[in-house]
Amino acid sequence: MVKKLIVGILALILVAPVFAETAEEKGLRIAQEGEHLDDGWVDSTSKMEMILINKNGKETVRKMHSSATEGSNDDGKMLMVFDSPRDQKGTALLTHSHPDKDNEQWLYLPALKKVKKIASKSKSGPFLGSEFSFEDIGGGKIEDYDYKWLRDEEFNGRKVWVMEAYPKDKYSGYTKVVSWTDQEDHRIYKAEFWDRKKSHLKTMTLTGYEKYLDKFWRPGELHMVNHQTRKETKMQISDNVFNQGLKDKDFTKNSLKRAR
Amino acid sequence: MRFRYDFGFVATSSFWGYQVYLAILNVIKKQKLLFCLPFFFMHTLSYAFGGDWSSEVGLEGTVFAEESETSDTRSNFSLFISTEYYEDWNDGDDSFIFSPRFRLDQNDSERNTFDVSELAWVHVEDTWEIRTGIREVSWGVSLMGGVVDVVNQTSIVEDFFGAKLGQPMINLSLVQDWGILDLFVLTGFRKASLPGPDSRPGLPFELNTDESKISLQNEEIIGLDYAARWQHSWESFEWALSYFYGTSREADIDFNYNVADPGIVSTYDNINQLGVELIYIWNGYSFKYESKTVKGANNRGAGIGMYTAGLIGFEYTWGSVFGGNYDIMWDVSYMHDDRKSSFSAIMEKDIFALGVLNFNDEFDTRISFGSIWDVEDDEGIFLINAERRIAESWKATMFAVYFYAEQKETPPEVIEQQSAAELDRLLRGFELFGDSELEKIIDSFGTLIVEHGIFSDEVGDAIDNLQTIVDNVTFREDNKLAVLKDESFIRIILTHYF
Repeated sequence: MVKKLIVGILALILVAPVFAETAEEKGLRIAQEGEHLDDGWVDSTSKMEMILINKNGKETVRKMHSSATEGSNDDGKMLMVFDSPRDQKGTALLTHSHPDKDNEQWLYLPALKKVKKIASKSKSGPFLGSEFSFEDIGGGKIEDYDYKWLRDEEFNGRKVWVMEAYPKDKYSGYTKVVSWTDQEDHRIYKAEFWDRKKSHLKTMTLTGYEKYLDKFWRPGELHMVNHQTRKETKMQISDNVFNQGLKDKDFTKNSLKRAR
Repeated sequence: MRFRYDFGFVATSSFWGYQVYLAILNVIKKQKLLFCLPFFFMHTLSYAFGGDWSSEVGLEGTVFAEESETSDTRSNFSLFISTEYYEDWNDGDDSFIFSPRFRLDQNDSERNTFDVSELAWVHVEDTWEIRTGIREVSWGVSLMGGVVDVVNQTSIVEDFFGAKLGQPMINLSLVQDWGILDLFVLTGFRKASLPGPDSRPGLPFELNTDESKISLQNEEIIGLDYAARWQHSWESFEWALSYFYGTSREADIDFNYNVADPGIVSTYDNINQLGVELIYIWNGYSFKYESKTVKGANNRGAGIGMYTAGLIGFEYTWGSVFGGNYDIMWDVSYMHDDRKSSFSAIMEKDIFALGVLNFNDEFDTRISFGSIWDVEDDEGIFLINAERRIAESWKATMFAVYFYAEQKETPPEVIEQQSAAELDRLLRGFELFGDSELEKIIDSFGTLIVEHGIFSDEVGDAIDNLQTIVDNVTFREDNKLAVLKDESFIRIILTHYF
């Protein structure tokens, strides 16, 4: 009897951490759930229009389109082709993601008809003069961050988790990213980016969500405001098409040369 | 931009672009009617198939620091148009591309050019693709290019750093687990476009650009060239091996061996070229290596020989410099060329350094500083390129090149050696002429002497002409850039895209 009790208490002690989840563990679990929920989109294409707004309100528009495959194990591939401004037309970027090593990237320079392998570590650099940086666009992996759940909250009438993510990479431009994530379907409504000096740099709001294939939520607009420069960028995403049987041949160095 | 015919033709977008286009078309009509015909051809195509058009038109103004030895032109305007027509079908598995370009130059007839960069059909299957027609192909890891890149001929007249000229070919590209293998059959050898008497930057001697000699050794053109390139990657390495057999794209210069009417012509050798390219990515650095071994090149005076040329260097980008969005990309490499006195190998042991400051702003502002420095001979080329989009589809570019080279003094005894008695010695000491060619010269002199007598004006003129050529063409090995010492320039280019 006593022995049983001791075993019971021991078991309770051993198992206890599972029940008393720490804020860090909860944060990681939420991030992982979010990722699993998005499994199975196979491939997609979409169009993007990026509106750069300077502090005087003057707008510059950049257009591009992209195609991507999900891959089986974080080894997705993405091709992004620039359509405007006209002097950049035909420039294309091919990315091969790898689960446990650096991504590979090639840039096609139409004026030189040359494919260039790129090795940039400057993730924090701006993406095409916008308020998005390469790391915002690149879609980081779960393992790239440490997480911490902060609190539950209501956001526009929806229950959300507020949590923080801390980039592990020393080349990241951020010390933390605070996000507001829907508790039901893991849609992210807002994210705040804190720079290396630990001051509030940018806020991104995501709106116009639509559900595709009855499962995958995609935002229609990502609006990034830089509080330090007072510049803004609106990234509008349209014409999302999923699961149309893209092949490997659409994501090779050869395809980069003929990308339109 | 899509054009549609509607009682004539009407542009459906970019009104101003179209106005500029029309105005230029007018100029072209007035200057040379022939030039506008391909445009009408393209319009007809566009009407029939409704493909995608991208064009650019630009005006370029250049000011030279000095008058040159052959031209007193100090300023020059040039107008260019290039267009690309693209259409695909079968879900993109078949595509057609046509891109011609035109240039009109104020002073230099060598720069009035029309070239078809691309006129090709590409068919894609899962594991291979075939590309047939006129195309541009770029090999090599260096931004400077030039080491292994051999498929296309270039024009240094149109662009000082070499504009590619379209090359007719059939190219089968195999995409496999073991990499990409490209096989080429190339035809229609084209001569390099070299500067004429009015060209700037030019040469201090007159090159007969209409006349050329191909493959001196074989005295014939092979007609077909063959090439192959295998590229693959593993972990952080990416490499390519290439082979080329055919007529070299690099021009050398030679005497025409006609003593009665002496001149300088370009020559081309039949070569075998083995190329190696390697990139290693490490921690944001991109290390690059590129080299070639060429067999069959004349290597001036040394007969059929072999030489190697190569480049080793790295590229790195500093992000977020000057406390803002700026980044600086550095590209530094060391170049080496075995050839001592080839016309093509103006630089032999050089350091190439390029810094590109990207503003990362909405205008894509970018300033590049570059230098090519000959470490042995203290000669170099410095350049600055600054560009910025100044309106929705307009770009302004400033490009300046400075040639740093001093004319080292030619020994006075060389200048004075003008007598017939010393000619033989002069020619023997003159690397340009191989031994076999010397006989030709002596023969043609013999003919002149027999016909006109040794003290005749004809023989005297022939000797003078020869002397002039000798003086001009013998680049001193340590002083090659001197030929360009007066050619520094600043160029402003305004380009409109539509």
